[in-house]
Amino acid sequence: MPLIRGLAVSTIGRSFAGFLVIVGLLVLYVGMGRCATGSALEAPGFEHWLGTDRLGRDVGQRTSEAVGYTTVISLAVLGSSALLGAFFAGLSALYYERVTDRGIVLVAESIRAFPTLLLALLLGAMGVRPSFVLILYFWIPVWRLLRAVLVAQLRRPYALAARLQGMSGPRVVLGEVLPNVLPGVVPYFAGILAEIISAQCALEFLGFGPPLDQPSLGGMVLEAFSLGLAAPWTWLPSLVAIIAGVLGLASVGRMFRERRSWAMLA
Amino acid sequence: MAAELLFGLWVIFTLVFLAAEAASVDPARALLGPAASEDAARALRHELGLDRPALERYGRSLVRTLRGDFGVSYDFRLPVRDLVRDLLPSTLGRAAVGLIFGGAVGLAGALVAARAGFVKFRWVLTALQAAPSFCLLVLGLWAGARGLGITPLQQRWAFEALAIIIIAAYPAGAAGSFALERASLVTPYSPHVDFLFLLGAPRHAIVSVLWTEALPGSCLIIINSLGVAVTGASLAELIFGLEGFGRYFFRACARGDLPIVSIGTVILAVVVLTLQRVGDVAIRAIDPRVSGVHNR
Repeated sequence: MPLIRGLAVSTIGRSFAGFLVIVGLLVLYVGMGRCATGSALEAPGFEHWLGTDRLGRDVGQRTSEAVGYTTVISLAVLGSSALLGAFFAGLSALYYERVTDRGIVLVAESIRAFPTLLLALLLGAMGVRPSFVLILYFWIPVWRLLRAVLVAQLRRPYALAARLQGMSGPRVVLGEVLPNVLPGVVPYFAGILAEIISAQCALEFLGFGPPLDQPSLGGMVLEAFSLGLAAPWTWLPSLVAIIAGVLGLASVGRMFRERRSWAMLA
Repeated sequence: MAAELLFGLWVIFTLVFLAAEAASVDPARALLGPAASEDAARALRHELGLDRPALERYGRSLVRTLRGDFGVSYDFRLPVRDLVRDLLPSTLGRAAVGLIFGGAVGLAGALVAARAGFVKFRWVLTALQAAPSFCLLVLGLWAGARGLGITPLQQRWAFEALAIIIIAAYPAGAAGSFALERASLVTPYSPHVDFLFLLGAPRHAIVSVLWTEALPGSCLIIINSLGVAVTGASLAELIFGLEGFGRYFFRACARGDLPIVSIGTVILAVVVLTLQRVGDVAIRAIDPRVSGVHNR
């Protein structure tokens, strides 16, 4: 167990260090003044490392801002989905296999079975903010994960002892069980975050992104697509950032799942 | 199963109706155009029953949908039923071909990797599963145009094939990951694997047994990937300009063409949920040990 814990910590440490290096490079890039406006569609060079777009804006700075925007929105969606999922997971665990739980299962499976993007587009066309749609969709994997864990934990002796001492069901879940299970569950959020970023960028590409003055990763690809994908330096950095971010988070999520499997069997 | 399917469809239909109610689009004004007078718009609203209470409109809308009357597109001025009938089979066909092709490739790859002991192949499968399809489609379009000098208008078959390959990535990754995880002999052994080793069974035979056992679960994952495949097919139609319902659906979403958006959503939900429920029952009939869609 100590070896596995150490491996996990060192991997987390390396991942976090890598993330800090990337953020530092981005800050350095913007701080060095490589973001002044230049002539339109300049190829990458010393003045503008990633070139300029059709309005002469520095592509590197816009990509940095877009990465920041997409990251903030995706983390906000993840946080909201986690809260909503934890709430419904608590309800499901307390009323497991009864009407409440079955109702939540049916609603969740109905929503989850439907393509994310098409549901988001439907509600986006009706004026609902795409972020709210993503929260509506992504609370379900959190709920599913926490539900299984909470149901198992509520049958453990410490939880039963808390009930016998007169604590109410919700208090046992919130005060005793949830703090125990959260550290083990949080690493799985990396995989969910990857899905959120993928869906978020796809919605931006389909025109359901922020206003034009706010760069977004999907929006930059959309802009280039509408102009025939000319000048690849204007959109390739965004595309690479999306693919690298999603694949990186999915790999981290998988790695944590595998380490947890080994840890449970150790 | 039928009751759960009907409940799921009812949830989707109600969600669509509520979203349409919340939309700022006035159907009568959208049909008549901005130059029409308010009296004409009011008369059309009365004719369409749009001035009735919400609950009555919900009931009428449900009955009309069940009868197959899907209304008229604001944008194309055509019955939505005709658009659906002519275009939806193309989208579903691409999704189905991609699903089957991806599932086959993923399962075959998992078997080969498990037999060879090449467990790192799971990272390739993870990448396939996670890769955003719209990014791959845009890259494919650019590579075709700049690298090979071909466009979807000139070489439609090449981009149809590329679309199928990209649609196949997710089911290949998902089904392959599941099969490799269960057939690989690197993960801790289950008791019956220990028993097979005790009997002196060769490694490749044990892997084949495990892979065969994982097949029903993998097939269930492939069926549950139908929604993702439909999304991928729709994106391919939009990006490559291929003919299909997905392209019109995206355009309808951007332009607020509620009849296409509403009915398209409901019909896609009907198809996806029905196929998933039928597949769930079929797989569990083959192997009762497989946990169903609900994953309890």
